[in-house]
Amino acid sequence: MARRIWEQEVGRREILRGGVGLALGGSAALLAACGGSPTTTAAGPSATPNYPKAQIDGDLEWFNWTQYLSPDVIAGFEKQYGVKVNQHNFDNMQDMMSKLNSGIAYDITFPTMDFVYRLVQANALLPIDHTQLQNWKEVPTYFNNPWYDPNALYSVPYAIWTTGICWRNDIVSGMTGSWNDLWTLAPKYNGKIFLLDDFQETLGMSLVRLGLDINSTKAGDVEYAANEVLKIKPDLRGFSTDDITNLVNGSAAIHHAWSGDVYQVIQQVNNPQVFQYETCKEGVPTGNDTMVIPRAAQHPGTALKFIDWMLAPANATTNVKYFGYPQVTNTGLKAYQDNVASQYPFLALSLDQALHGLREIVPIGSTLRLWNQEWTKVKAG
Amino acid sequence: MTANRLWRLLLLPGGLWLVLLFVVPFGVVIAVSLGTTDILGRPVYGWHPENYTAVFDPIFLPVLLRSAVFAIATTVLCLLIGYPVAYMIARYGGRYRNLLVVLIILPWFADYLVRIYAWFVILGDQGIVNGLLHLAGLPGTPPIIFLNTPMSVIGGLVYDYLPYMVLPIYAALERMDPALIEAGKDLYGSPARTFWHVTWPYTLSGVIAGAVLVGLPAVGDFATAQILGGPKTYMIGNLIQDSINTGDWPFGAALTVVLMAILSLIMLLYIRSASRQVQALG
Amino acid sequence: MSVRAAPVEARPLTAAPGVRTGRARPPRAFDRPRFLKVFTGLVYVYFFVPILIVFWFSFNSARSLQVFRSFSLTWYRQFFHDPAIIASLTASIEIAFVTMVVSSLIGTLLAFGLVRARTRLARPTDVLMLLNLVSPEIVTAIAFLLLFTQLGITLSIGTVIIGHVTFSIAYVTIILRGRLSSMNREVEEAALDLGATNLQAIRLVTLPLLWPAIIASGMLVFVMSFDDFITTYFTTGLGVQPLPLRIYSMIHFGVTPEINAIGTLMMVITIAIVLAAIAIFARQHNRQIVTLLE
Repeated sequence: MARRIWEQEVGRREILRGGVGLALGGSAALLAACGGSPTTTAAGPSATPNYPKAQIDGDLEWFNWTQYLSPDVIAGFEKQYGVKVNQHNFDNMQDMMSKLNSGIAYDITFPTMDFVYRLVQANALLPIDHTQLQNWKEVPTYFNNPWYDPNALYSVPYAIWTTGICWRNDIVSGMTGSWNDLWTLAPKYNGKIFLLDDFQETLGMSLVRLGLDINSTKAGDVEYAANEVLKIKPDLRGFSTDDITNLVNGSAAIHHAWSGDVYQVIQQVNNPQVFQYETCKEGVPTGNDTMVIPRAAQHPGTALKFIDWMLAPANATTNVKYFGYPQVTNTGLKAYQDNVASQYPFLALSLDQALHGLREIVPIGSTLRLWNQEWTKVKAG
Repeated sequence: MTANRLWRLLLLPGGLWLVLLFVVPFGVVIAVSLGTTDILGRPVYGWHPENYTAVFDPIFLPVLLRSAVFAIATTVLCLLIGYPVAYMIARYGGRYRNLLVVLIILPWFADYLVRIYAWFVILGDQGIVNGLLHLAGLPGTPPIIFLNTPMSVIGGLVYDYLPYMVLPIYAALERMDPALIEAGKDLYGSPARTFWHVTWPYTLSGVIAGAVLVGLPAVGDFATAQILGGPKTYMIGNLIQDSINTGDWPFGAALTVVLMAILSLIMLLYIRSASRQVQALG
Repeated sequence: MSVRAAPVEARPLTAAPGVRTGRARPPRAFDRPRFLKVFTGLVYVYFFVPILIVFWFSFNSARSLQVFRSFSLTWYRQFFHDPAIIASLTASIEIAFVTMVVSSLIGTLLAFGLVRARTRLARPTDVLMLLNLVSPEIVTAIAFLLLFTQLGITLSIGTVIIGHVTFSIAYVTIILRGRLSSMNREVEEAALDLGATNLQAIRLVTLPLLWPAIIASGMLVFVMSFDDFITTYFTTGLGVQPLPLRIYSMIHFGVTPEINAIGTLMMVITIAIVLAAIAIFARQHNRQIVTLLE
């Protein structure tokens, strides 16, 4: 008797629950649809850009990777100008964009070039007046008009890097400076090879190896590149962005890696001399990130002052020694050469190299759907 | 006020909270799954049901199945390991009971990532375990590969979810009158039969609670597989995570909606049978 | 004569080994605590070995998880000199504490309702709660962000707590529900017969019995909240950021002894708080017993 009542009631409850759920979900969807976009971005670039003035106007709300900028430089800024730098951290670009898009009033953040490109297109940044920056002359001339930010209206470059292959010369032989090495050596070093768990890096690299466009929008090409990766997948140890940890703890003999990370590996092991890094002849993906001031910033003046502080020669040198990347100022690049590249020639990274590298552009719309589909097939297959 | 009215009233705060802060956000998820994204990656709401056709690609089915298998394996292992521990603390803990329970939880305060990466040191190819094996007289043999395997993922999942099994079972056990067990021993003779006929049914609700708290979140887990896993350990949580990370939010949202739909169906079946069981237990 | 003929009243405290008397207490080996002890010990080792590694490497002078160069306290010094980290730690503890209290409250009420209410609404609420448990955290976290943004709610510690409570309720409810449904209601009914109202009966009879389970689930929730990254990331605004956000971002550059030092400290501070709590609680408990005895 009791059982029957339960069953009956469940039947009715299901419908009731379903109805309530749909109603609520539907209203939420309506709410979302009618709410409009949260970030205030005017359509198209504004006619009279309101350039912030380089003056201290409050504490700095800073949004960056952790440990990506020397604490001494930050402390120096705080002391010099009597303000606090409130640090907020993200751990990947997409997450950074999510928080930024929600309109939180960060004063300064560090997007990579393809994300700056989109922020510029969407008019989501405050313009930067170079005359306000005393150290602007430190920035190499190319960056007066980079591809992602015409006339450098909105961004100041921060660091550059390349993507290549890091390997151990005590275990591996037969590297020829080509992406194809990963394919030819896969059977031999079965279980000791990692590719980057980054869809742009890995699919892009596979495309480049095939002589195709690193940002291909053609379904056939991307599918072909994905299948090529699937071919060596059985021999891979895995896909990972923890290249530092994998190389340090010995899981990897060959790792698809970022140049800056290789430097960190060398700092952390007992046997740095066995680690080698090469960039590949088919094409070298190069990236840089930037310092920008989001439109919602409440203290853009302080942000400008900070950017200026970073460009100062003494600070650039301190910074490079801390995080091991070439900071894109004349002094910064030299400091990198003197402190890093001189010791590890394979990590040499000249501006010229950087400018002629391949750039990865994040796909959007139907291209994104294509890339995501192919990537998830690679991961799942 | 009548008893039943009181109980129904008590449902209100929790129910209301869940509706406002789970159903409504889930409505947002559904809205995102039917939309697209703009240049900044923000969701643009619209009507694009074709996002769902992408979800039903046959290549994703093994991923779903694997997640189910991993979740079940984790639950079973947690039960096999967790039950004796909970029993031990509840029955023989004595004065140190509270301390022992706290010790179970204590590692969690060292932060998840920190603990997981410690396993790298232990299980790595040049890690402690392999180092010990090497010393034990097996030089020349290649190191045993623990990391980046299904074994390490399940091990990591068990490691992470064990307290969720131990605590509910402990909570059920700790109020158990030892006289019941004594009586059971007199009645049934052997410890095994006492356990099966007395202790187990008494703690069944705790076991079910533990199984739910381990099994369900384990299905959607991705962090363990991402860090400790390899190419053959891709779980549905990873699939969703990857889609979010590439910026294809509608696809990730659609996957989530489908996953939740499947699980709700399973849950409805479970609840129906569980209610019958509870009725039977009285 | 033969022990089997011994009268039933003469129950020896310990029977002669191998002898089965009618109602005698069986030999101690029957309970087999030794196997359980060893097994439990091993499980604790399994739990704590990574912790020992964390602890050990936090004193590493080199920035490495691979090699232990020499003993050093630099990372701890750095920790204590960094006011931001200490602020983050404090924030995490505060959030976890409030989450624990609020979700324990709501979860307990919900457990009572689900177990005892005869109503159509119980099932859907139950399903909702379970669904909440399964949903991938990244999706619900982003949904929170989108929702709060749409509604114009500024992200703050408050929104973090809201997010944490939401995923915590289910844990409290499920643990308590198990405990509650297997509870013997006779004492409660006796209280009702003696004239107590329902609420009084709950307060004076049921809750004290439920208390250890509430504490257990509370601890679980505290820890989950303290450790949480995803929901926290998407619900934190300006102002202090909870500790896991810093740590997750730090891992990007490799697991350094600094991270291990933070982890160790987090544990040590927690032990201190918990031991203090146990001490206070025990003292109160003893005082209660003493007053009861008087």
